[in-house]
Amino acid sequence: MLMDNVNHRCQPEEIAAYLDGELDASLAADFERHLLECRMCTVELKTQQRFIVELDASLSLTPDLPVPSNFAQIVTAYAESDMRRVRKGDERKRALRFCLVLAIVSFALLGAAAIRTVLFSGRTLAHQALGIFGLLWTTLYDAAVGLTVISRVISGGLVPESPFAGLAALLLALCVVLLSLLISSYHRHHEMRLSE
Amino acid sequence: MIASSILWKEATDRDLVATANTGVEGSFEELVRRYQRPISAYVYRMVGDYEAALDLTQEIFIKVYGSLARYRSEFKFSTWIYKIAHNSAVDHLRRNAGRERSLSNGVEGDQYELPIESSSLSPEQESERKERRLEIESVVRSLPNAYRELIVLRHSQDLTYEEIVEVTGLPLGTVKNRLFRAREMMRQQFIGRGITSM
Repeated sequence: MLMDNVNHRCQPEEIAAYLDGELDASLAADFERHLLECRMCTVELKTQQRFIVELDASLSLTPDLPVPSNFAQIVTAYAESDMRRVRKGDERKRALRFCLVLAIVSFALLGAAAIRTVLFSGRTLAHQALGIFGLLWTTLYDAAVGLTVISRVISGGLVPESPFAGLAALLLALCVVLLSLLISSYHRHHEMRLSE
Repeated sequence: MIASSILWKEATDRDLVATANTGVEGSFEELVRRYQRPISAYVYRMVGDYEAALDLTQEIFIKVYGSLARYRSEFKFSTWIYKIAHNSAVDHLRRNAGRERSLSNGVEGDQYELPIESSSLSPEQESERKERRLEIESVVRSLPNAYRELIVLRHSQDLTYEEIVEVTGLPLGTVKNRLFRAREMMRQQFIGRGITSM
């Protein structure tokens, strides 16, 4: 039991944690009791302690990395002007409202002199858009009419006009499906037999 | 103006974050002023390049500003900002993996000899201390990133294990184990250099 305890306590990581003050009070007390009877741990503790003190002394001093005197002002200005990071919904809404007001004001400032030019170019643009839309619509309509006529002619030639034409077409479709299933199952059986 | 700057100096980090979030002018600038030196020193020790450290520090503060609204006051502000700095430094090292190799070999170009704040040591002691410090800095630079970050956070920035866990996102056991291994690695390097007094 004592041996187990000794082995558990002789972990060098635990010694480091003890020196770093990272063991809780009861574990630290246990470890201090263990130190009284373990020479190996005492030696390891002293070695680690010397090294940690040296590291702390050298690294904990605040290095005076020269930072420009107006660094804080520059960084703050950059951060505050970075619009990608507008942080709140309110700020975004405010920015949008501001843009809208600016747009209205600039339109108003354009004045009556410029309004005719603006309206004329708008009207030309609308005419052109309507022309393109009309052309597209006519093309689509003609294509649909042509397809309907062709399909009627083909169906009239294949299926004679009778009250049972629909039923006959359905039966034909069923036959085609069944035939394709039969063919595929035949091929599957044939392949299985070949593999055996 | 002077009165407000005195007020800012007395405010806690949490107060400054709260006021910066409401858009009060000057509060974020005070936060930058408080943390610019420790963060730039930490980043410099991580990346080993003065210019890159300054650029990264600026980037870190811009990120901090963008995330201020997400800061939760139950955490220490210093831990939170170190976490952002740590992630940025790790990203930088990952992006410049080639440069990192040269950093490990100790032939980095844009190194800067860090002057330390004046102390009350005699000139001989000062020179001896400086020599020892340079040896230690050089050994720290030669450590793999995973070990260097823990040594810097623990011994340079004086963070507790718990804070290191928060900053790096590593489990406590890993932090404990890696810190021990990092120190062991450093000790072996000193022995390899013929320094046995540590």
